[in-house]
Amino acid sequence: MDNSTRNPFTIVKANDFTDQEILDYWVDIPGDSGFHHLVDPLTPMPMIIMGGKGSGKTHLMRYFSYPLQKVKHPENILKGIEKDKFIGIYLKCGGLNSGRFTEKNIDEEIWKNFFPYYFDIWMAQLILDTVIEALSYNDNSIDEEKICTEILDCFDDTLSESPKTLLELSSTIKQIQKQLDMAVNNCIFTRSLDGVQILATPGKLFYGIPRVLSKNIKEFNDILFVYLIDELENLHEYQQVYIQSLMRDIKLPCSIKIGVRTYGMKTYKTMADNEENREGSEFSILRLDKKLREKNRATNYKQFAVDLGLSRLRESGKISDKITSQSEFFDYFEEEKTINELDNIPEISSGISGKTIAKLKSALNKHEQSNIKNGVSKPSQTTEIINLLSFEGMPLLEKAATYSFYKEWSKSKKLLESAISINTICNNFIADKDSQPQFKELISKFKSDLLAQLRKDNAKKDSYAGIETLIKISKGFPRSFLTLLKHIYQYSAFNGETPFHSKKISIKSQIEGVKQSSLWYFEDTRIAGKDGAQIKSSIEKLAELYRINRYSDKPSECSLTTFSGDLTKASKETQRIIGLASDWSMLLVDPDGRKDKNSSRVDSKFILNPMLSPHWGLPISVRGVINFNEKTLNAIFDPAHESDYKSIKSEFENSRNAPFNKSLDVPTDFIQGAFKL
Amino acid sequence: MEYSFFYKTELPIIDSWDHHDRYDLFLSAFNSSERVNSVYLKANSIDKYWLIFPEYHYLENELPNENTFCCQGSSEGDQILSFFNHINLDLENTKICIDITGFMRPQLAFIIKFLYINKIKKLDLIYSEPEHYSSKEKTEFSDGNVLEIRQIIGFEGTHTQTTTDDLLIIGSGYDHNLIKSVCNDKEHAKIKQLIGFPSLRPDMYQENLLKTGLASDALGNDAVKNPIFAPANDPFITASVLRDTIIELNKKSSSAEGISNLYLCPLSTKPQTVGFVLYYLKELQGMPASIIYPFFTKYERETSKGINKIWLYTVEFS
Repeated sequence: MDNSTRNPFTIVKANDFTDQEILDYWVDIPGDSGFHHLVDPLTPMPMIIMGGKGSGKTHLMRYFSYPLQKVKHPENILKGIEKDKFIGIYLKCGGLNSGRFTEKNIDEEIWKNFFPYYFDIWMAQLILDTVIEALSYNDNSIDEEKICTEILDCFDDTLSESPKTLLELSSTIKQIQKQLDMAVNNCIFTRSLDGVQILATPGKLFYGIPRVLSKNIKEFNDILFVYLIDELENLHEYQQVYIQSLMRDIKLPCSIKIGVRTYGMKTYKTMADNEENREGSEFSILRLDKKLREKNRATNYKQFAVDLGLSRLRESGKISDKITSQSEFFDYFEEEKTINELDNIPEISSGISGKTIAKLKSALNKHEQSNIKNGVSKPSQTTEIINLLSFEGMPLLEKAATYSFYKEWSKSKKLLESAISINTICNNFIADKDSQPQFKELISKFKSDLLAQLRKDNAKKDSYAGIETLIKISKGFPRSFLTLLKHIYQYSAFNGETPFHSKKISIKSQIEGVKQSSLWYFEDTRIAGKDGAQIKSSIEKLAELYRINRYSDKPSECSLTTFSGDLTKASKETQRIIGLASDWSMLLVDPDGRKDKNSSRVDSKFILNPMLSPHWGLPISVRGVINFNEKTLNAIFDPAHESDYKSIKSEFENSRNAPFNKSLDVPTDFIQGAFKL
Repeated sequence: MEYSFFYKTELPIIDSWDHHDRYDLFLSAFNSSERVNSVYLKANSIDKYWLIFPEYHYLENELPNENTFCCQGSSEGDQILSFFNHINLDLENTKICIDITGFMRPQLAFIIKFLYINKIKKLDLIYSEPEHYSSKEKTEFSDGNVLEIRQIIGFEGTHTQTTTDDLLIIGSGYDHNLIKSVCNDKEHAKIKQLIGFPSLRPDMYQENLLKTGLASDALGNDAVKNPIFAPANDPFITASVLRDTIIELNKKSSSAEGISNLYLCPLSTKPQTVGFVLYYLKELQGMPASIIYPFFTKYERETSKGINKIWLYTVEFS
């Protein structure tokens, strides 16, 4: 494939990059507090780098690893390490295949003793192989035999071999690992690990080898050995206990940085009487995606995201090195034209023959009986209402007018009088917008929902376009942002455009790419086991309610993708599933919570990850918040209460759609917060 | 290892098998498929056993009346060992035939390994091809809820710390969610996709591509565009293709050591699973290589209709 058609965003995972590419595509967050400052490789205090899938943990950890140091210092790696003042020993826990150290009729206690030894043997090879590689660029002589002797002293027993060089030592330890592997592989048949001799106390090799190297190799005298342990989520709980123990007993010249997905932190317990490590005391936490979402960093994330996009384009040769500014990147994406309240909108019908009025007419006719008490008893009155609320050539204004009318209807107001009043407000608004501040605010707040309804009524696609929108959708997850660009690029090329060339990427291609990315996110975040099925089902229910609200006659909350609630009153299972959905980044926790209107209580607040919103035609901007009572929370998240969901959904629909049947015992939280005319 | 020394023969669907070898022991994994039950009735053996695996969730009153053995334990290893501990045979001198059709892949892999290390000289495996899958490409083979992705017991290898040139070879089947979950689990590895071609039936190739297409994001460009092929009903060619592919990829590898860790994941047909197992047993033991699998809680009891062909695969271990 030639350069002109190659998608520069194909690779979205750090794992797919070579070491050189990790460096080439490296983008820092702007400002004084760049990633180096956040990760602080020179601090001995252990750190947990936590984040959702695609938050950039692996890219970050690999950036500080030895292979990258080597790329950064091609002239002299040893001098480079001295200058960096650290060497990064990178481990992917997935490579340990930790599932084999469980069950097989072996007592759990035996595994608990075995795993720390295996882990230390594994790490010993990693550090030795790293150092051997680094020393191959060394011209000075090193007393390897002395180093070997001192490292062998870290073992509790004498080894059968007496290696004299680091290479021989590594090979000896490799043999130990092989023997351990064979014992583990065969224990299903032998039903024991009795033949395994544990030759080193937990931690002695892990801390001992760096100490010996630091003492005996001049270039390593003043450096920190930073263990970068990535994908901790792949370890079982008891295995994580050992890692926590290593963090608790941290010894210079070592430091530990753990990379883990938010859901993957299974314990903070240590082997020291199960005592727990505490943040601030035994370790610090860098919550990566949360950090990028922080309000005071919003501008930084935007710049960071744009820089990510620019770096890919630059590396692929699609743009010149000179293009660096946000505005130039923004220009590649066609934006929706701003729609004003009085504008006509192409391909959106309005007036008597339009969809909005047709729907209203149908509702009035359908609920003729119930309208009698609202003062509408004759067909001519229905016609009058229709005429009063029709605004030919102004579909958004017309939509706002009918929305206001439905609100009055829901309050059982006299319908004809309401229509007359709304007509007056609208005509005054047409003459002078500022003369009707409340109506102006209503349109401003509900504009996104009203436009979404107009598009749906007229069989048009939801609009998710413009770089600002894409940045909002990715919400602190760089991989999400790159995935959006990847799919948009694919659709753009497919639609015959030349993305990032002469013309802008069309809105159509952007919408298709965004929809595809959203589907990918939902499907790709498949979570194992029953919990996974429950989380998926809960998120689908939640999205369904949000969708009902957005496309109803009278949405109670604008741009609704957020709920709050007093979780302490909900069932334990509800609390657990919400916790898991947050850990898996399907829901994002708003750290500020939401103050309950009737008490000083602050309820938890959860936002549907905006990557999921396009999948259900939901808004990207986060505005309205709905407060769910415990019954609703349980119906959505707890399978034991699932049977309540159908009636709650029905009440939810009825309270928002004409004729607004309140006889169905609508929970108060469903009809709150409507804007008053 | 030359896999073409092994041979496969077709068995009659209607006619009797009485003129074929009589076995000492015939094993089949019980499920509700017509083809599994049909083969059990026709098999010519002194002893026959239905192995009952808990993953099918059969109730006692749904099981055959005799010759059943309920495999105990939560892992494939425990389940298979529970049976052999029960019958306590001199395996070296027992003529065994297994109908692999109803077996779950991890159990199938483990039972072959078990017989292999117990020095069985010759093993006959029977596989009956379906006329078609019950809901074409939409056929569900499991409930899709992956509990964990791990190595199959006995196929764990001895891996290395270097992960830069890790390779995952997936034998792609119909369940795209399983493909995705495995790709995501080994997301750092390069991926090769092995597709069953020729497929069991011509339309099944198209169905397979339709399903694997849904996992294309997880598989990545190279795996989608440059798959490798082996006949869906031939374990020996599958093993041979795997071997040739690994040799080729080792040659192409950027590092002198070649592939750092190799992961094989058989999600395709049972004969191809046998191919993965044979290749592993013959050439990968003690290497940085393992067979991994996405384990789930429940398997569908009946996924196919009719019998198209019945194959007998003879594996000589001696």
